[in-house]
Amino acid sequence: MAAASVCSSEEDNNNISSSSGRCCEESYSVSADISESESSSGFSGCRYDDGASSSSLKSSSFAACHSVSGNDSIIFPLPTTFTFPLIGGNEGVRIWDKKKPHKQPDADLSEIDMMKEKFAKLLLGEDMSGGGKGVCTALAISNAITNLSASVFGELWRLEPLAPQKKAMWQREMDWLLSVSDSIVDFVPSIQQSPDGGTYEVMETKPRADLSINLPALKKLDSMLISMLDGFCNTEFWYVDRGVVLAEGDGCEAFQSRVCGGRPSIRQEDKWWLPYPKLPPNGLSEDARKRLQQCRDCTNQILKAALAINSNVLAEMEIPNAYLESLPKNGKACLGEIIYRYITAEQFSPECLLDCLDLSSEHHTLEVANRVEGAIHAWKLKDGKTHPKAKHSSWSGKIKGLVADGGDKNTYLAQRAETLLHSLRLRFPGLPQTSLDMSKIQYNKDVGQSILESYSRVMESLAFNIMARIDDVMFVDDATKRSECLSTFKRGGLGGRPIQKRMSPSPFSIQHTPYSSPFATPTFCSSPILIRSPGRAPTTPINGVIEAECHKLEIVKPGDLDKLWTYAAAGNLNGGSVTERD
Amino acid sequence: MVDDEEQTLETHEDEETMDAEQSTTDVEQSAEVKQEGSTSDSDKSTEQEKSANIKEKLKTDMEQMKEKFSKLLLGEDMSGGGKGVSSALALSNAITNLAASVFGEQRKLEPMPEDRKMRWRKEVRWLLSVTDHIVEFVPYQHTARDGSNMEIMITKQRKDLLMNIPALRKLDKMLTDCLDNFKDQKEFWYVSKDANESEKGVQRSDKWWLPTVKVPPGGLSEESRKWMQKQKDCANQVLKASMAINAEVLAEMEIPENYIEDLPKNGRDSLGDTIYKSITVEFFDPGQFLATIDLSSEHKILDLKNKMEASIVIWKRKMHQKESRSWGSSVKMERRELFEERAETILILLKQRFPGLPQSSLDICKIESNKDVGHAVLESYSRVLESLANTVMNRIEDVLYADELAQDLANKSPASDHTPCQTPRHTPTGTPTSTTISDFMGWGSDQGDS
Repeated sequence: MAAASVCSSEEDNNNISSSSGRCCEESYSVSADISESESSSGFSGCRYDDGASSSSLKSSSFAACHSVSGNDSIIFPLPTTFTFPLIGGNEGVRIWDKKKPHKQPDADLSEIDMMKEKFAKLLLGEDMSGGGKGVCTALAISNAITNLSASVFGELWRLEPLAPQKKAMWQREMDWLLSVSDSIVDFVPSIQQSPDGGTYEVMETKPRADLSINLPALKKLDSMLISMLDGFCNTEFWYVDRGVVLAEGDGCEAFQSRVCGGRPSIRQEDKWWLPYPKLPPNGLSEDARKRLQQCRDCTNQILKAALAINSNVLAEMEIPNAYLESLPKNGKACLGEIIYRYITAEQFSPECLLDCLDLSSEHHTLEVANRVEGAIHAWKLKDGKTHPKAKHSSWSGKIKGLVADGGDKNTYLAQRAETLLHSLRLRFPGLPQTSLDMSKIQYNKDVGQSILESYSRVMESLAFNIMARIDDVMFVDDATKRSECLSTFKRGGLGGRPIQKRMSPSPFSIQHTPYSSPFATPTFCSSPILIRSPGRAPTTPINGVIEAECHKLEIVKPGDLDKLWTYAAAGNLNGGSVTERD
Repeated sequence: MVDDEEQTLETHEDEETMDAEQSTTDVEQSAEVKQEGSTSDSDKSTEQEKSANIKEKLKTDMEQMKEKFSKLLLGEDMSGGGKGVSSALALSNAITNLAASVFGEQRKLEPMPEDRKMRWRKEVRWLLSVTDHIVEFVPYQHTARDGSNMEIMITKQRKDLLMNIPALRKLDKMLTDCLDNFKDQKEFWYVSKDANESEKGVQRSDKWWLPTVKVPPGGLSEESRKWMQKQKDCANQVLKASMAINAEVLAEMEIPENYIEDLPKNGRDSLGDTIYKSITVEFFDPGQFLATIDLSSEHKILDLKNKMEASIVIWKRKMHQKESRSWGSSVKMERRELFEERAETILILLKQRFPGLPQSSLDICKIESNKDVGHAVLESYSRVLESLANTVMNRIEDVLYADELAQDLANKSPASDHTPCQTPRHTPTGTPTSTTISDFMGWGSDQGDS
């Protein structure tokens, strides 16, 4: 017994040291293959999408999405009888609380122990000293959901069914975490009929409205994504390590062109560790391609639904005082000279302003969003300070307040800033959380909201990753097919420069042609100088960008240089959507 | 049994015992589950049914556990708005409420009903499991494969928990076993409180709602009287041990800010003129002091305790402030120190004389503001065990009292027929345990050591 206890404590120790003092995040590390999970600090690293690349939705699609999110209840954008266009997957949607597979009682016993451990850690608020200096329940659950999804899904390297044990872990532990929401109730008055015919009002408990609407929706999205992944068995494409591809390609001219043709998408360019999708020589079959496209559309819908829930919940959370206190005193200080001048000018067009700003990288864009958001609240705060005074003071003061436009100006500027932020969000729908969002998550005390927020966030990120992986396959497919074309047409035709003006198909139309994936930007397919061995391959994405740029420069006319620079930078970080807007 | 228990208490540091003890509870745990299944049938054909039963039970257990933990996580705020209490208080309340619903019905000396006992064991295990994950870093000599030694830090359960939780578990088991022992006793029985006067036995205290004890005319047999005494000693041991742990944990908790804020300015304000005067006299005799004070009701005793505790805190704080400032009025300092010591003596005496006293306002304040989950579990678990032990003791004394009366009656029946109310054992204070001061005197000195 003594020996065993030492042993287990050693294990604990490992956990702690490996996660730099956050002893709480790793639970029982079921398998070693979750090693890539970036179980990073709670809320800050919560998007596990491909690092920087994020904007996958077109503005048109987001407008539609926004109309969805504007509504309080989420209208699920899929027909209810939708059957999945999955390859080999005819089992339909799995119900979340399906009967658990037959298990030994021993397994159940250990499951009880695991559950105890999980709940104990939540109760301790991640402060394993027990001293009560941990985080509040809301943040503890939010972190637990984030970390769980990171360890189960990681970055999602391949389109393939989830390993059974990972899937079991995900469903089991989410079941525990979500069970907390079962106890969250509202008191609602209800009229009851008494036996003598009279009526009387009693208070009864009901699940909280936001939870009873959104949680089933999220569970449905969850099971859809999982079963979609399950459908990716026996696919026409497969994955190989990038090193293997290059090794095979060495010294083989014929193969080299294939490799070039099959160059991964821009988004993937900096993700040199991702395995490389391989296709049959002629690309995917018509049928498979169509199914893939359908999967993509479906995932896109899920992504939008999750996004909508997430932004709704975030909007409902109170703005933490800590955030308001950290704001600069006035809007000008928030925005900086240039934006402030634009926004206070007589003529104001948010689109024009956005065109002028340097939004070349996600970092810059986020910075602008943070500034604008800060300014909105700084102005609103000022407005709130002037108006209550007017309310409490005499009539003259009120009239004065109405006449003098000190407060009105603030309101007006706040409105302008809001439209600006709105336009920005339309342009970059996949923008990571702003500092306001993060501060809301950090200070949120509402357990229900924290569950909804984190669950929708991890669903959003999973959907995004699935979509990115589908796009990778489609890109390779496009390139394979095009290189066949090219061999007849020689070079020219399509190559040379990025096709930037291509309109993206409406994400709501499910049956557009399978070849017009909006992500397939088959730009440099004819460039022969693109093979990089992992050894030479830069280990940081930044180097990757530069190298990619160099390649582009070699094949592009000087006139296009400027465009390319923006393209390369933006394409790398924003998944190419910027280019399509240029 | 008693020896065993004492050993546990005296060898807090002896980890091996603790580990062994823990492992037995683990075994029990699985055995419990198996038992449940096997009660139905031992037939071969029911083998499957059995495992299905176990599974079903585990499933419902899991559901119950989820609900329980969810409520704890919400901190009793079912709106989910995060306005609930801290985890520490939620756990403390959960243990208190569980004990109240399980032991509240324990009015007779008889084994606990099986279902209630199961529920208690199960739910306490859940709640205690939280403490398994409270750890601290300790250095550990690690011997590498090449024989070289190096010191590394490993995590280990927090020391106070590592020592006290197994001890409390043991006390818990002793108490339920003690109740189980009464299964086969035949020499006394209970009469419901609604029975007519002739059948009714005698109620020792004014607890009219309890059933009364009847013993055979002439009292218990010598053998079972001894046996009862043994059971009483056992319960007493548990009581003392759990009280000691409870006091220790409470002492370790910080004095909350809001308690300090609410304190009167000085010791005189807190104590009132009369008490202040009698405590600041030149020659102070605690026994005499207590004799002069009206301790006729629990309320009054508690009031005195609260006043004493408050003045101790006030004096201590003043001494500390002075210390950091200057050495100027050292005479005043010495006087404060003296008064503070006197107040502490009185507190100890009070504790010895009235062991079943409810919590003082300082204790309540500490429990409410405590954020330490480990302390919360230790405090509440020891508190409920203390109260259960106290109940068992009282019920045993009821029987012994009835026995004494019966003996008296048998001896004197030809001569007189005096009423039982006049017997010396009856206490006017209404605190049933006040007759057992002597029992606690010995313990008081032990307490001083720790």
